[in-house]
Amino acid sequence: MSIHRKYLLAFTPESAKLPVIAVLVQKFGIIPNIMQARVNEKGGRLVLDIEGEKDSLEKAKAYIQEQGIEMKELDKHVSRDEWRCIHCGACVSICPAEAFHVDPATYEVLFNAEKCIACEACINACSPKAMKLELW
Amino acid sequence: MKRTYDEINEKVRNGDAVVLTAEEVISLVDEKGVEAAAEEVDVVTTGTFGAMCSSGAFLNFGHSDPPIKMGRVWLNDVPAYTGIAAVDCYIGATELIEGDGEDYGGAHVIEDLIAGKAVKMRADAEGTDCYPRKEIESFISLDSLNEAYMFNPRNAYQNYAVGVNSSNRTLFTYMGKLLPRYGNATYSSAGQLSPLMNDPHCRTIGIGTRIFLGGGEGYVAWQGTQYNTSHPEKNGVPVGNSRTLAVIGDLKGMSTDYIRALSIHGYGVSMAVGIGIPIPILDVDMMRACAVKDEDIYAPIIDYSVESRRRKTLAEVSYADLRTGSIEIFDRRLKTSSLSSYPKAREIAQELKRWMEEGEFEISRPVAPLPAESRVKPLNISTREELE
Ligand code: SF4
Ligand code: SF4
Repeated sequence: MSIHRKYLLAFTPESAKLPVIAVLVQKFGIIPNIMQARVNEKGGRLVLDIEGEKDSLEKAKAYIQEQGIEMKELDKHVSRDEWRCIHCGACVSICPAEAFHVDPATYEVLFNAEKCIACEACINACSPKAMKLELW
Repeated sequence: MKRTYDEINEKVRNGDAVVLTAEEVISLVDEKGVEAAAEEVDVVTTGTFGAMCSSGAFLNFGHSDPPIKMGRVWLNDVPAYTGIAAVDCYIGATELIEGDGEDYGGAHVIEDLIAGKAVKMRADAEGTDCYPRKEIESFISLDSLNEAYMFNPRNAYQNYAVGVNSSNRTLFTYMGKLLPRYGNATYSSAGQLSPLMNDPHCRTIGIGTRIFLGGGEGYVAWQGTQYNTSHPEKNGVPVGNSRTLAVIGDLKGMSTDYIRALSIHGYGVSMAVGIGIPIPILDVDMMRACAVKDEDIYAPIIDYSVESRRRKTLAEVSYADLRTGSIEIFDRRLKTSSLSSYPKAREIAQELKRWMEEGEFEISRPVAPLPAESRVKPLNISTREELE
C-alpha cells in the first residue's frame, strides 16, 4: 500500500549538487511532488511530498540522510530551553536555515524560531540538550 | 616594574587592587602601551567554559548501620568506582548510565548533586567480619554526604584543534557534529580569555594556585594528564593542544551555572566545567603575555575523518578568524561553531574580578612549578620483554 509523507530537505552547498530527486524516482520508485524549493549552489531547502511503499520510503530516507542532507518530517517544531543553553554556538554552523546567529557584542547565540524549518539538525548537535523537538 | 604576590594581596585586602579581565586589558595595552598598563594593573582574570571529559568527583557517603564495604556502587544507575576505602567512591563524568542511553551519565549525577537534587545510591558487597552488610539502597544529596570534591585530572587545555570532516558522511565526534565534505568547522577554546593562553609558560600558574572552579574556589593540584610543552609556538602561544591542569575543589561551593552535563551525540557524556585563573602582573613580561589577542592565537585544522592518531594539520587559523563565523580553506568557506562558551568564559572572568575587587579572593604563589618540559607518549602495543 502506498503512503504519502511530507518532508523538508535541507541542503549544504555540497549536497545541493546531488541529483536527489532523480535517484528517488529511479532507484526507489518514489513519486516526489515538490511543494516548495529554494536551492542553489549555496544550499537551501526543499519541501517534498513523497508517495511510495512504506519500505521504499524508509530506504529513500536512509539514502537521503547518508548524503548529509538533513531531512525532517513536517509535523513538529523545535524550541530552546533558555536555561540549558550555554551559548556555545555548536548549533550555528549546522543549521541549514540560519536560525541561529551570534550577537557580535555579547557573543550570545540568538535563536530565531521563525526561520526554523524543524529539520532537527541542531537537536543532536546541541550537547547541553537545550534544543527540544515538540509535536504541534 | 616589579610587583610581588604579597603586595598584590595587600591591595586585595584593602579593596584597592586594580583587576581587569584578559579581554579588557587588551584595549588598555593598545591604548597606553604595555609598560604603562603593567604599572596600572595588578591582576588579570581569565575564564573558560567548555567540555572537559577528564573530570569527576570523590564522594564519601558515611557509614550505615550495619556498615558496608562497598564492592560496586551506582548513582542514579551510573556506576562509580569504589576500589578505594569502604564508603569512598569516584564518579567519573563520562561514565554512562547502565542499560542503553548516552543521555545520562556521571556528569549528570554531578550536576544533579550540585543542583541539590536527591540521587539514588545503590551498592553491593561481599561482606566481611568488620563490614557485614551486603546490600544498601538509599537516596543521598550533597548535604547528606561527608566530603564531596571534584578532582579533574585534565582540564583547561591550553589551545586545541579545529575539527573538519572531508568524508562523505556526517561525523559525530567529541569535536561536535562535523558535516560531510568540509561542511563546517568546530573549535573549542576561549582564546584570548583562556587561562593558559595568558600565562603560556605557566610562570604564575603552578601547584597550589587558587582558582575559580565551577562557581566556587578550587586549586591547581598537579599538571594535567597529557601535559605537553612540545608544540611550536606562534606569538608566544603554542599552536595545538598543549599544557593542561589537574584541578580540585569542593562540590559544595559550586553552581550549575558553571558545571553543566553534556551529551555529545555519538560520543557520550561529558561535562562543561567553568574555570577562571587570576594572573598576577608581576612585571612587564606578564602584562605582555596577558595582552595576547585572538588575532595572535592560532589553532591547527584537523580532519577528523582520518582514523589515525597521526592526523595531519591541514592549515592553521587564528581565533579572530574562527570567531567571525566562517573560515576559508581549500577555496571553500566553512561556517564555524564554537563548542566552548565565550559568553560564559567572560562571565567567569568578570565574576573572579568582582571577587578580587571585593577582597574575597586572594591570589596564591604556586607551591611548586609545573614541568618546564614534558612530552606526550603514545601507547604502542608492547610485550613484557620490551618494557622490562
Ligand atoms: S548548541 Fe545548544 S547550548 Fe550551544 S548555543 Fe546552540 S542551543 Fe545553545
Ligand atoms: S531544527 Fe534546528 S537546525 Fe533545523 S532549522 Fe530549526 S533551528 Fe535550524
